[in-house]
Amino acid sequence: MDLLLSALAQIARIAVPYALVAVGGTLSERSGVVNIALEGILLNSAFGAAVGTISTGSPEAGVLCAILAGASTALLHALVTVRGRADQIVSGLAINIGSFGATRALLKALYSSASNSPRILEHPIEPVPPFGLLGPLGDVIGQPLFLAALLVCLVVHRLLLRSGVGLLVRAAGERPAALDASGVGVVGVRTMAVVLGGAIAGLGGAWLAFQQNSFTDGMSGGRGYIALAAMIAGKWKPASAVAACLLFAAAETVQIRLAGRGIPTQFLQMIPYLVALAVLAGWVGRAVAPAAIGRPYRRGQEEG
Amino acid sequence: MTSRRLLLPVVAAAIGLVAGALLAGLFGARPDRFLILLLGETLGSGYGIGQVLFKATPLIFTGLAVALPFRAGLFNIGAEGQMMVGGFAMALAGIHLASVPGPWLWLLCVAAAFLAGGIWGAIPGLLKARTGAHEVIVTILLNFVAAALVNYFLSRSYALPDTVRTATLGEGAWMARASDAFGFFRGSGLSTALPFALAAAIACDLLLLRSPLGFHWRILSGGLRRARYARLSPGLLSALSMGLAGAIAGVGSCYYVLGYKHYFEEGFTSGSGHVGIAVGLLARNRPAAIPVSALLFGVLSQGGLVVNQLVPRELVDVIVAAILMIFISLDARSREGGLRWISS
Amino acid sequence: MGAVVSFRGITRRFGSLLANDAISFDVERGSVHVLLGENGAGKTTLLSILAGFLRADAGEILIDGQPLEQGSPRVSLRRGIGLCAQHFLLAGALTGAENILLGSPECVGLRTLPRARLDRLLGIARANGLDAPLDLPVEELSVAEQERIEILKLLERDCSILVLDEPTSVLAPSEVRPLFATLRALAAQGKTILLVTHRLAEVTEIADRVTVLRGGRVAGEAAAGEIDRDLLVRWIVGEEIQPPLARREARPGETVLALRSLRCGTGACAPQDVSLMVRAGEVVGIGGVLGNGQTEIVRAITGQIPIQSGEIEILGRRWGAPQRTRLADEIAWIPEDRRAEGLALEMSCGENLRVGLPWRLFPGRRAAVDLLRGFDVRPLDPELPAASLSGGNQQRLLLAREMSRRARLLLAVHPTRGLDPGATAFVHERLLAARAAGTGILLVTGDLAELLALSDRIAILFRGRVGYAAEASGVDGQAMNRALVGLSP
Repeated sequence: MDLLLSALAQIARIAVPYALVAVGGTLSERSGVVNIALEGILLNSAFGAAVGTISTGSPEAGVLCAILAGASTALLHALVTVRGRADQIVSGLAINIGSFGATRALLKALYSSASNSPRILEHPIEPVPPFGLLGPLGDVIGQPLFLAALLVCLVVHRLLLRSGVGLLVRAAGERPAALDASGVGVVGVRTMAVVLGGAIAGLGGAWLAFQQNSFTDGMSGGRGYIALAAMIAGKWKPASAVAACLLFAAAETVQIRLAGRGIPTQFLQMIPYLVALAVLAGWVGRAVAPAAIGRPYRRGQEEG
Repeated sequence: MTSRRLLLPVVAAAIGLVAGALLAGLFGARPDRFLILLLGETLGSGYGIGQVLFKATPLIFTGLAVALPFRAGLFNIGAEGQMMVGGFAMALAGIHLASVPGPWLWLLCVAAAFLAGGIWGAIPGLLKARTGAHEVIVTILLNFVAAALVNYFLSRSYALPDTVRTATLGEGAWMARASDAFGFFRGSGLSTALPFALAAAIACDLLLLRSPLGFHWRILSGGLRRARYARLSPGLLSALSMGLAGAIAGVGSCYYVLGYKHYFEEGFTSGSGHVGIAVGLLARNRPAAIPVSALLFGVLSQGGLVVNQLVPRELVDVIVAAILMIFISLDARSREGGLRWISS
Repeated sequence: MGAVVSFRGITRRFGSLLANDAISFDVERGSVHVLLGENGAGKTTLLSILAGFLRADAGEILIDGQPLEQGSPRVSLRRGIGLCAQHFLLAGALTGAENILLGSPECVGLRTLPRARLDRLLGIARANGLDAPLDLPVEELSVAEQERIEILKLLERDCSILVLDEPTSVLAPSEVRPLFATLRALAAQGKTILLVTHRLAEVTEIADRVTVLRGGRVAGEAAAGEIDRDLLVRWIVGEEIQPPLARREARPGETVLALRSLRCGTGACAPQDVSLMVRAGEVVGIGGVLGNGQTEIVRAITGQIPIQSGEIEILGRRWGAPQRTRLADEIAWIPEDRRAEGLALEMSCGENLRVGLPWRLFPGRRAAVDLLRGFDVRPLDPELPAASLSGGNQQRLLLAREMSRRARLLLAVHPTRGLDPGATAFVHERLLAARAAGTGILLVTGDLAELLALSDRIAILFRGRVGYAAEASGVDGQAMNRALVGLSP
């Protein structure tokens, strides 16, 4: 029983950053903007969480910094690709390159280390009281940040698929000309979706930093890209993307549990990436992206 | 219109450098001192120039690995992994066949790298052709897989104790150092890999612009509506394009494995694959222009080491990113006629 | 009831083309006003100006006596003008209700779209005879249902002036009547309907008043009681029939293309049971108002759309799926969209001369220059990117490539669309030269004059069927014109 609880705890712990990034990415892509920059956003916000908490001593400030870092990185992407109509994929890649460089440079400048920041939290964050009863699982899912993440995922799912605002976002990604003709600015909707998506992913960065209790160079480790694979597997629906993330997290947990049992660690390390590749190769069936994704919108420039 | 196409990358690079210098100011360095170090000291000595050229060499290969598929409508972000895989195969050949005399050993090593890199590049190409899986994420994921794979073989069999490097390759595979012939370059890692890279660039230019295969690739880049004019199937063309790109990136590892250290060392690629994207784009994906673009980024790369005394050298990565962002922004604007002052 | 929309001297040019030439007429409130005309008459341009997507070069539009501020779709919408365009502006993956409510006040909120709202929409739909499932993704609906949703959008926005561009062209005959009933009912409620069509039969059914456009001008107007079909036909098509261009008698050789009962494409106007034949050395022209299936025929031959039934035979060989995957060497093709399909604009002129050719047929540098000179492509420079050529020169470039292949069958789709008279004359001359050299040409054009000038035999398509076919020398003008607008000859 204890084994089961601790395994579930591990899955939950690993799944959070994937899920938040996947949900943030879904929001952005549903509005029609490809967001490869999520890897860099994750990294930046983890760094923001570290810096924020270390300098002020308050984890809340850290979370806020993480969200701000994520949102502002996403804003840069939005300005260049939505307003500036530049290529979305290259912008995302550039942001990732820049984020790796910037975080490492700041790491050196602020903490005189090329690889880690100092410890972020002096004491681990206590789970919210009722969850303490669930042992190791409660330690994870009782975390205020976890509960916040859960709430965010549910809310985004509901809002995107059922609310008026979500309709605007989806229309921007399916047929921006129709949205424009109905009197709503496409640029505004897309920018908002991208920035919000970045803020949500920022929450994932905060989690990552707190869980490891420090910022390490390159700690995003490809999670941003795997989360994009999860988003595709979830067919651009937030709840399904989260389910796919749980799958990835389970695979990674299996990997960790199997370590030291004779299977080389490197092959275990590859598991998340291979699962993601299998997903992309259509093992989960072909997924149809939002119709207008990837193309900058210009009034009067419709094909057909 | 041609002068606009030439001017834009230069303008973007200039703005990026200035922005980087200002950023250096935030880190406590004087912007002008930063620029002088970055540009002046790197090019101010034989060693410096040699190092710049040395750093530019892999960028030529990865730049080509990005540019070729781009002209066929594909994004290759996997040059990093392709170079890694190619380099490792190169090392394996050089170690196991160490007794083979040069230049045959060199040929075999290059062939091994070509094959290994080619396979690693063809995988995303085939996946895209068969299943439509977007090659951007696939190539990125494969980079991680490549790293793990290489790490496995290294740690299990090939790494020398307490190191992350392999044994030294047989001498028949070594590529001559520039410093052996020209004392001017003493101390730098520059080798005959550079002329090799230049030859590759010329060959790719001819392939792309003068051969039927290159012609069909370029037709394909116009999207599926034009695909019916290409006399080969789009799937085959995609796989070939990505495969060749991977092979070129794989062979590109020779600058290190054959020309510099004469062994394989984990992590030697250090981001060349990603900077290669910037190299390719700024050269407008024209193979003949890639060496020039690679030179710029070689300066930045070496300059990063030089400015390390003032600011963290990773600032250079931020400059690379900034140049890229500025370039695509200016390019998008000018395409829509918003930059009339820059067009001819 | 006064005039709710007044066009006063609306003029609009596109380059050398005068699309609207001082158009003036009134539309009465609460009426169904039909705008009639054939290809290129200027109908769509006029509607675009009304709906705010274009600005007129001269003239004004009065809505309820007040001038309309042009060039803003938002302003036009606010003045009550709603356009249902020929190509629907619907987001396929969204449901009907979502498409209708896009942009309404509910959308700027976090609340979910309440069930009551959906029911109210359904009620409005039913009341107006515009039944359509509102909770399914629009892309799963039939075209008629999609059209109803487009109209519901206009009603939802409280549009008092409904402008419908060729609403019946996507409908099956049985679906037209319910639409007209709906429009009648809306008009009775006080809404004004401006309806564009090229089908004469519909006009008499629904119109309170008809305005006929021809060549950008108002050719005639009539009220419901005074509609004389023949008069209308004459207004639409004009008086004269162009005589064929001077040329040699056709001496047709073997059959190069044979279509037998061809059925292909989807939609109400897709080709149904089309049979025709093209022989070497003759020009067979397919005409009719655009959108009646002409381009689908060519697309079936080049393999862009599948064949549902019937046969295509080229040079005696059955032309099935495997042959149609790539362009064949035997067929030369001048596509309708030269920019996206025919040419590779970013490549040089010289390279464009090679696109689609097998390697052994690639023209060398000297041959390329000769080719460009022979077709008078200016500026004459094989290295120049094709994108920098003018439209007319791009078409010459395309012709140079396709016609130098000496293919036995040439498919020419709208070969002179968008070209100035000089380039047009050149293209005609070249087509006739190919004909004289023994090429069989299938010509698709929306320009009647061109059709008659070039063809040895013509076929007029209406709703995917051949409404009229004849030898060019023996064309019965009356019958042809009636076939154009869907009346039986």
